[in-house]
Amino acid sequence: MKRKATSVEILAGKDEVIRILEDSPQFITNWPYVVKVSTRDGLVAEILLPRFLFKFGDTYRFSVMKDDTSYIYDGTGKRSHLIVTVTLKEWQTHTMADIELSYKGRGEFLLGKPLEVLLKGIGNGLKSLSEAPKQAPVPAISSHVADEVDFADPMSVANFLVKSRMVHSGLHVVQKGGLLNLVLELRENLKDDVLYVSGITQDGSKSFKLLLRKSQILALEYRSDNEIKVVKVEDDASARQALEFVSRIEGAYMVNAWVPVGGV
Amino acid sequence: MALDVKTTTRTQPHWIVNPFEEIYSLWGKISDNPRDGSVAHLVGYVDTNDGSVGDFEMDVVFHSGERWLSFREGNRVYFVVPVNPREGVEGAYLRVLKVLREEL
Repeated sequence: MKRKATSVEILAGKDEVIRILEDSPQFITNWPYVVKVSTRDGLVAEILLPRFLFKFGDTYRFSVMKDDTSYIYDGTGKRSHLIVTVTLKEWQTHTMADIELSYKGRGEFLLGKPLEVLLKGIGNGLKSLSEAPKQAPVPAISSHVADEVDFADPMSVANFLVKSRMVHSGLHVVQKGGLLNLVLELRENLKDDVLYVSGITQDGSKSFKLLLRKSQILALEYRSDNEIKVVKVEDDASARQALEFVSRIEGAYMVNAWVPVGGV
Repeated sequence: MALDVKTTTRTQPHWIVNPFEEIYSLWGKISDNPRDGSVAHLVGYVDTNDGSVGDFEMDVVFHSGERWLSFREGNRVYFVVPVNPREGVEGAYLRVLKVLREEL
């Protein structure tokens, strides 16, 4: 049996840390050396520990036990056994998490270093997940901010961006008529009502801007080689027009998404 | 809104690091113009390698007028590019792209 222990200071309340520990598949996904996590048939994670030229891989079936202050992730693999224990102590300004890792089985005398890295990674992962800002915007503010945006007035967009937070940025291939599917995907992890999505092809020849409240399009700007079109949705006719332009958008775009955060 | 910068199709620099997040992190400075009439400029460098952009760093400075400047030293392109908050983050990206096209 090989044991390693460490403790990390987390600048967040105990409830925050518990929220992360409760979501064990998500938590385990953020460990180092974890190759695959599956929840289809219980919680199963494949972990590949490298040492010299060898790779000690095993598939662990995890069971999670908890009491008031500690969480135990007990993983049984085919050739080894891995137990991670997280014990929390709450202080006024921070939470201390004592993490202990024990490993028994194949290669346990070789794996000192990788286990240490695994342990440190678990600690850092828990720290950064817990300290990440919560997504709890005030709907009243964000709705109000969206009303001020008018794509015909570029300065209103610039001001909107100041009061926003970038939630996504990446290259996407948009299928013809598939932009709204992409928007749905972006929405999945967001609680905000208002979403501003903009996209531009890498050479800058085509672009679009889209302002949404829930699934409703508020405004759209569509730019291609030979036309620029701004639609502000006010009635059925303009809504239809906006949808028509949305369905025309196709190709590889750098897509950025923002949500309002209120503020000044 | 018409973007001032027109682009032609030539070889595209390939960004390994996403430039939008970096540009947007400077957005507060870009759109917060301290004096009337002064123009925000992106200043920084971009490390290129066979047409792909690896590392880059940029910041915002203000100047009384629009000023373009770029030069290349080995694989590193230094630039000063005026940006217009009215063009949004994409507009700033296109202006950096224009400089890169000229220097590559």
